[in-house]
Amino acid sequence: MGQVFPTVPKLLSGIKTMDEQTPESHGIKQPSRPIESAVVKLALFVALVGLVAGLYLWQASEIAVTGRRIEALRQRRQDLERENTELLEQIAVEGSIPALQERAARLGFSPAAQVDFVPVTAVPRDTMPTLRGQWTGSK
Amino acid sequence: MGERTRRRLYVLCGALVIVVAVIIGQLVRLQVVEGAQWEDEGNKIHTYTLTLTAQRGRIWDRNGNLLADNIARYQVTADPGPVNINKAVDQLAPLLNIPPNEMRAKLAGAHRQVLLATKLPMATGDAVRKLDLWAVYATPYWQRSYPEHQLLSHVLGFVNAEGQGYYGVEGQYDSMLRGREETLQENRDAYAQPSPFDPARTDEPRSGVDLVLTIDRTMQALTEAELARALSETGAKSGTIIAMDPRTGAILAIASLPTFDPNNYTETPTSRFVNPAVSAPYEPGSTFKVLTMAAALQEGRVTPNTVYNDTAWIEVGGQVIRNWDRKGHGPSTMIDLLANSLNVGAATLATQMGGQTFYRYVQAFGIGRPTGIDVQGEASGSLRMPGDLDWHESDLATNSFGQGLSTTPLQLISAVAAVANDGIQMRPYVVAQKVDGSGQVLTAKPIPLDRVISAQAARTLTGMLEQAVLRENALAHVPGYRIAGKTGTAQIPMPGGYDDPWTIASFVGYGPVSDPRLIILVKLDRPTSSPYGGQTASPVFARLAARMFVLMGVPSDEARASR
Repeated sequence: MGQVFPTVPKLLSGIKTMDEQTPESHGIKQPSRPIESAVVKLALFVALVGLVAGLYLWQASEIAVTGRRIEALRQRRQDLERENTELLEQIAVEGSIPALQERAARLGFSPAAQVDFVPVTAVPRDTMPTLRGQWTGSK
Repeated sequence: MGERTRRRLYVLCGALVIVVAVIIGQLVRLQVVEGAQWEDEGNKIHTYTLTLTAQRGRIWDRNGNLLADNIARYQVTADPGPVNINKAVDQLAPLLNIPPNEMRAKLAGAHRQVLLATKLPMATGDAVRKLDLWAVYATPYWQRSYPEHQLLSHVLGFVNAEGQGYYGVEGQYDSMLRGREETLQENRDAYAQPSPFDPARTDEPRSGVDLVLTIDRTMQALTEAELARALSETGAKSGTIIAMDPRTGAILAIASLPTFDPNNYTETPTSRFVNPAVSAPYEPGSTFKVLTMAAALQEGRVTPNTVYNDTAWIEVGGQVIRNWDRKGHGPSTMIDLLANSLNVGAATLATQMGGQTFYRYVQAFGIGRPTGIDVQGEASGSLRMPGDLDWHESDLATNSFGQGLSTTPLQLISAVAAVANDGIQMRPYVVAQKVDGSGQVLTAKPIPLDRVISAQAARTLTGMLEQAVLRENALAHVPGYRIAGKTGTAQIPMPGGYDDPWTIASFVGYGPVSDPRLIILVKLDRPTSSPYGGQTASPVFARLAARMFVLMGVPSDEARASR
């Protein structure tokens, strides 16, 4: 034991062991203060490296998870966009002229044979057909 | 520590140093010396170039009805290397409706990615995605769709599989409609999943601009139905109808038959894609007399009651010009000239004005140059002018009644619309609004091109055209409305002469006369029931105008007078 204990720091740090500093006659061999300090420093260093590595891994993991979440949301948005266009298309097909004509005929409607105009003086004279001002598109 | 142990430790340390040195050496070689080469190799494997296509802008009619849309479709591909063929065939074949043997053969014999199916509906594509099969990819894409099918197809045009717009509005506004696509390099992992660290994914494609047309879907449907009925009743081979607001130049409807379904453009002969209303010049015949008379009135050469002696023929530049009925009508007023559509009278007016004056007005009305309408492929027609090598003196006479020159239907209606609009010609247009992704709206303003004749001359001519319709064209009457108009019966040119006995029968009319809100041109090619515009095109105008006045909310003359 007395032989092995001091060799570890020696191998690692090259610090002189008790062999050079302490006489064998002392009986129990104990690490001197510099060795103890080196071990503590090493431990702190390892702990620091571990902490930095841990933080890096945690951050990378968070970025990855967030990235996946963003990707999933992006995918969901694209799916919804596609669904919306599908629904818009269905509405357009259902409301197309041939579809409306067919439904109107089924309901017993037919083109007006005669149109009577009723003068309404309260309405402004100029009824020039214009674009519906409120309508601003679909997006 | 003994000497032996110490030596062993030195050996161990030396060995470790060598190993570490080798590793470091290799790292330097791979990362530094050959770094660029290996980076390229890696990129080839893990970097995917993605083109994110923007959703093409939609097209709406003036009332917000959808005319052109995008629908999501899927294509399914598979990597024959890693794919589990048995599993893929078992699960995909029934979904994609492909015979299992056929799919197995496709996958087994291929080395590169195999396209298994395309144009799949969304439900099928989603089902394939949910299977989550290894090395099988369901990729969505946008496909242009026209929910009204054939309706307005000549004005809309179509979009091919690569997203390129052709003809009509799709061609004219292609760059605006297609938006901005994004191309990005994306890093993927061993499972071909996008890397979550990839910053390039922040860019998104920008959707194209939506277009709102001046065209009313219901009016368009009515117009197409009337044209189809006209072709059926008159035996005409083809035809065109244009309806326009003369005050603004806004096109309300454009119909041409035969037509096509832009959803199935690949199954359509390419000749059908051309919009005859703007791209097919023809000799307009007697409808052109409106312009000749406008010039004479503006020049002060005639009044409605000016009388000339209509002989059966007149010789101009060595060519004998005759009336359509080959008869002389004796002393005739200018209203008689229009009512009876007398070629001799028109030629007399043109020769009296002289070539310089006559052609100045013809050009002012926009004949011989495109109107500038915002649809792709507009033709300019042809007009020979004095001084041109191929112009002949007799052209002055034939041009006066619309032969020997050519206009598109749009050019003609645009010119006559100037008369309806108190002499001011407007630029025809079909796109009323552009709406971008943020909801910003750009509204097109009507553009006046020129004052061609005075308001007084225009109103006088309108009155003359009304008289002409009242006296000689009962079939063009619209109950409840005063109408001005002119018939046309034109011979069809062919190399070496005219294609007798075929004609192009037409009628251009507008109303209500007191405040023209609608002008319609009806053109029927080679009718068999009668060659004359007064008998074939006029009734089409009358029926259509009656319906359109109602749709436009234009009350009858009586109702308006009572207000």
